[in-house]
Amino acid sequence: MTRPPGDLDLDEIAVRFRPIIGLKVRRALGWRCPDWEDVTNEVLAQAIAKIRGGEFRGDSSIGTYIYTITSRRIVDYIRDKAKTPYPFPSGTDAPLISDRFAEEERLAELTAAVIGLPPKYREVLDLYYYRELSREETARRIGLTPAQVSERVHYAQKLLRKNLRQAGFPFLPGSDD
Amino acid sequence: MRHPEFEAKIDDYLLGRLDEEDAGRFENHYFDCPECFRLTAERAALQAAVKSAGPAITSPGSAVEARRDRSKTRFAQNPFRWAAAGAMVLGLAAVVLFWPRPGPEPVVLTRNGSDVIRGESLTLITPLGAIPKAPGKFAWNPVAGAAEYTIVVEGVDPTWTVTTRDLFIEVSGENEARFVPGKSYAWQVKAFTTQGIRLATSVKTAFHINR
Repeated sequence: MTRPPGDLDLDEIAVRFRPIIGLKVRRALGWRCPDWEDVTNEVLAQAIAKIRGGEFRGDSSIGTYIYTITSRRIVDYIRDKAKTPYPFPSGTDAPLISDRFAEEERLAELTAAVIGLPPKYREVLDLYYYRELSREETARRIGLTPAQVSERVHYAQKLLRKNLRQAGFPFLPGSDD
Repeated sequence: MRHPEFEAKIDDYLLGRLDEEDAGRFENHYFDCPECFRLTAERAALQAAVKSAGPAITSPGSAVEARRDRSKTRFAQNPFRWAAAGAMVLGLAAVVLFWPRPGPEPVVLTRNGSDVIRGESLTLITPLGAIPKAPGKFAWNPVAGAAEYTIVVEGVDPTWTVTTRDLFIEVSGENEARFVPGKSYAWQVKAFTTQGIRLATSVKTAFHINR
């Protein structure tokens, strides 16, 4: 959806797009890359500055505009890194200890919820996500159609969301599931 | 508002199975659609939890039961609240997918040319996108535990396959002449242990040599 540039709430844009930019940046740079947060912040700062400076004219949606800025910054980062293609020294990609602890706690909760799912869901999740078989191979191994595999994953996700909500635990942080 | 055609591609996107063009369209969509981004982030969290569970997901045993009991208590008494939507999802996905951890052994993958089976992701560095001349080298980031890498370059005739212990291969001599201005090529790298077990596969990535 395209909105008039003057109608944009920059704070709302920052809050909304930070995790979205972060997902694309991390997937592009590699989840282990320690620079992802810096790159994400740079993209957000650049986008806000451009919008504030009147460079966003509303020719595209704000999402597409920020997506373009993100893509370009990722390419620039990768080109810069290509000049020194050797890996970071080991140990420099550690997140803050407090963040890591919180992340691991969060992960433990979700993992336990997944293990608590009925066997037919766990079976599909094992083949499709843990072993990363194709949808077709997963279907063949357990006697389903590929469409049924997708349905079962979808229902597993729904059931997980419901179970977590009943436990007072949102699927995603900050959501009101 | 639901977008079924988008939802059908979430798994392929997260597992790196979309080509660059499709992945770009997918990303462009979730930049505009909060609901689709939420579904994608949720699915990423689910995948991270499945990978964390490991083989225990199909055979819950004593260790798993103990962990589940402990977490049930935690669910009831101490639900977490987080300030930043999405930030912890990304962080936990990174922790479980790419951080050394105790617990179940990592997935053991067999060398099989027809299966696209992945453990960690493998990030390509260069060449990417449009480049002014034939690449001088192909380079990529390391994968923990990898003893060697196999790189496959398509678009040259015959397809060029090299196995190396380094994180790059240089292009020189007769190989340099195989890259022609005005043409596009694609390349992919796979990481293996000394026993030949595949640890990771990169997304197949294209580059174009400008005239």
